[in-house]
Amino acid sequence: MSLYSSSRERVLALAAIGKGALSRFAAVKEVATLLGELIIATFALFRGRARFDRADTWAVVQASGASALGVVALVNLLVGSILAFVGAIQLQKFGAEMFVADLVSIATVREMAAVITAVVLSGRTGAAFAARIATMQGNEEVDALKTMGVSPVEYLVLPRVLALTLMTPLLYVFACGVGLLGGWVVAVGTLDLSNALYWDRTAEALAGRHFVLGALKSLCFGALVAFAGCFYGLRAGRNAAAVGEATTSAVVSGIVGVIIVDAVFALCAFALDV
Amino acid sequence: MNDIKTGSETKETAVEIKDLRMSYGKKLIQENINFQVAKGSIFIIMGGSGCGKSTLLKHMIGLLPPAAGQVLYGETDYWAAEVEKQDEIRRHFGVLFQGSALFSTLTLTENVTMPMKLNGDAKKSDAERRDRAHELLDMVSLSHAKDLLPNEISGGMKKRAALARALALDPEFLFLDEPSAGLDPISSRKLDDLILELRDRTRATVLVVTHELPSLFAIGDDGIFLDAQSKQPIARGAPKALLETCEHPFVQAFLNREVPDGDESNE
Ligand SMILES: Nc1ncnc2c1ncn2[C@@H]1O[C@H](COP(=O)(O)OP(=O)(O)O)[C@@H](O)[C@H]1O
Ligand SMILES: [Mg+2]
Repeated sequence: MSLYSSSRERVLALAAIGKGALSRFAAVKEVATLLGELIIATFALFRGRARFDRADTWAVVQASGASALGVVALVNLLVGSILAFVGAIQLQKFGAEMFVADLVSIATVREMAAVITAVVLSGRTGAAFAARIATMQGNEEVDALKTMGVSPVEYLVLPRVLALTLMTPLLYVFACGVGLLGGWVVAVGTLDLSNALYWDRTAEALAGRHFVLGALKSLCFGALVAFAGCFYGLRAGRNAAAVGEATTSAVVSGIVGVIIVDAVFALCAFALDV
Repeated sequence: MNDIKTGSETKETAVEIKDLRMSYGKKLIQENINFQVAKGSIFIIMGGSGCGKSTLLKHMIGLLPPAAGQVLYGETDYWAAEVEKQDEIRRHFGVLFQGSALFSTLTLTENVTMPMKLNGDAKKSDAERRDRAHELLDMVSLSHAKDLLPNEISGGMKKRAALARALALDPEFLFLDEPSAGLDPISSRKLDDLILELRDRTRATVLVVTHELPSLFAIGDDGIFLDAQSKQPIARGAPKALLETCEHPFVQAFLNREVPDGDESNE
């Protein structure tokens, strides 16, 4: 009897896994569909045939760029100084204080500025995209667009993905500057290092390839965060909880996605010896 | 007074529904839907809440493919047609959604100009479009609210603004999902008169989902009654004629605003 029930449970568990896998598969299909439509819309844009509101796009550019400066600055400043602080304590043990500059600059430019900025943007802009589009979905505004013969992907998704993809590398450059500044303040403040020596080491450590890698990553992160926001916004339901659920899913998958893509980049960079 | 047109004076069919079946996933909503709508007539879709009236409209306006069956505009089966053909058919639709569906970040004027902008009315200048929008808002008595945002006006005003937007492209087909829900009796009556006047002036074919008894008797030339229990249409014809001749107890109860015999539910 107990044998029967436990095997039955096992079958049920298997069925649950199968169902989960199938629904994942369905989600993958949905992602692929949106991606395909987005690519078509991009081509339409280059042929000058995409229809979206320029004023709307400009608002998106501002929201995802200029008005994110404050929080991006704050977070990257702190991350830069934390790196310097941790590095200073450890490197002091070996009498290698002056290499703090190498640590801070490479970690900031190669990893932290891009990743931290993307995480901030996911919580801020990705969430806002999801909330906005989910609200429109609930209000039938998306349906109204469709009956006017306009693809919501063209009108709502394309400008958002483009705006954030273009703004994120700019924010990344800004984040690098602020992060290096934070590191410098802490390093020179806590260690017996001269300004000139610190910036010399920094300049020496910072090869162009670190910048290129970081910028390339932030380009991908921006696209990813915007895509996640729009994706969950568009597939939102029409009930009262839908907007909240869409926002949460967008942020979670945005952040997880950024970390995964970062890991892929790390592997590729290692393989290519960049 | 508004004469009731029988719809038989123009024989030409504007849209035909053939063996339509509607479902969400495995959940059947309605099946065996068959009807024709005469050009220039006002066709009423009736039925209790949740029986699938809005869903039927979605199948007709190209938002949601049906589970089975055809939606024929002229000779063309909308859901079997090429995308270009679908676009061309859809260009002649004006839709008033159940929840109004106004763009919440745009003023009423901008909402009404939107379909003109998006549908390549390139010949028109911005000023011309704005004038046309003001004209339409005036027609639905909203000229005092033309620069307000949707969340600054009442539900009834939203309905009227959405109607103005639906009319922006001089549609051949007007789909109205519960246009007078939430309106006071006087506004509701005015809206009926407006719909009749529009139909007479533009010869548009109008499909209306409504529960408002005075309204559906006043404007309906023809109609269909969907039943949530049996998941099929149970009556077909002008609302006035149904009131006199239809023997189905639920239809009689609906049109007479009574509780049907044997209905214990509290819905
Ligand atoms: N997107 C959806 N997914 C699943 N079920 C739905 C969806 N939209 C509507 N329904 C269900 O379909 C039925 C018909 O809905 P609807 O067409 O809106 O009814 P009506 O407009 O007649 O009140 C309802 O029972 C509703 O719960
Ligand atoms: Mg409805």
